[in-house]
Amino acid sequence: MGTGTHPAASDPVPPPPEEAMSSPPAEYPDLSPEADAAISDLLAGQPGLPMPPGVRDRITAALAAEAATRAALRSNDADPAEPAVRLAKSVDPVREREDLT
Amino acid sequence: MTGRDDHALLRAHAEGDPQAFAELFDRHADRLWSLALRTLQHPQDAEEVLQEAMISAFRRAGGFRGDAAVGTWLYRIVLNACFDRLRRRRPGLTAVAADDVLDRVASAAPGPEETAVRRAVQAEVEAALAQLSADQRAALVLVDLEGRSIDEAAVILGCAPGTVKSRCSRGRARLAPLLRHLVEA
Repeated sequence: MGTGTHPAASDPVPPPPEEAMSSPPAEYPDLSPEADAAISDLLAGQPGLPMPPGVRDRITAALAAEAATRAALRSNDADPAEPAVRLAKSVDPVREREDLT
Repeated sequence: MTGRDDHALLRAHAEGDPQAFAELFDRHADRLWSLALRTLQHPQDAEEVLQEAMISAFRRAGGFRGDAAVGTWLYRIVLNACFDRLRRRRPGLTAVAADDVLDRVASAAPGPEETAVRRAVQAEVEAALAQLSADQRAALVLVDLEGRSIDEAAVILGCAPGTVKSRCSRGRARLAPLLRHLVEA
């Protein structure tokens, strides 16, 4: 009998879909709705984990530094030495350079 | 504090208000920290990732389209950064002990005995959560611990609502043998 339609042993096996890969092993059977709700309620009753003051201070400082950088960049963009109205360009400078070479 | 809502703060930030983003961060800091710490199970990683994520959000705020809650947008940025970190995490880095995580919990209980009981229960819950895959843990943190809806968790996680439900129910099934004594108590 021909086996031409069967995949060879060395053919790559396509990976299972994500949900199949994360299926619980047999020791984790589906819970009853009541047990599922009980675990859910237990988790819902847990308090949050407040951010430690030191962490908050460091991240706030990093954001302040970022804000200062942004303000400096905006200040440079608004440099009064620049003309308020830019002159229209008659020639694309990049194209001009390419043409010269 | 200015009393502005999240969208107004983000708009003000995009228009150049230097205080607006810090106020937005301060408003969401504890929830974002809980999410990062519980997803990564490592305080130093959580701090680094959260800082990177906030800087990224600061810079990308102008592109926020406003079709989701600002909190949802921030959660998504933080969670994506957490999953990036988990993919790049060096082998051998282990999660910290639940007690170490719980050192970051404020003691709000009225008496020392009750505080100790609550702390013990929470330590068991946090240790059990650490046994889950990152996908299942993130889904349960969002839906059960944070009280987000399935649809909102799906937006944050970037997957279908059915996938969130599936991850939650499988995660709870995996937690059940570890936490059953707390439920039955």
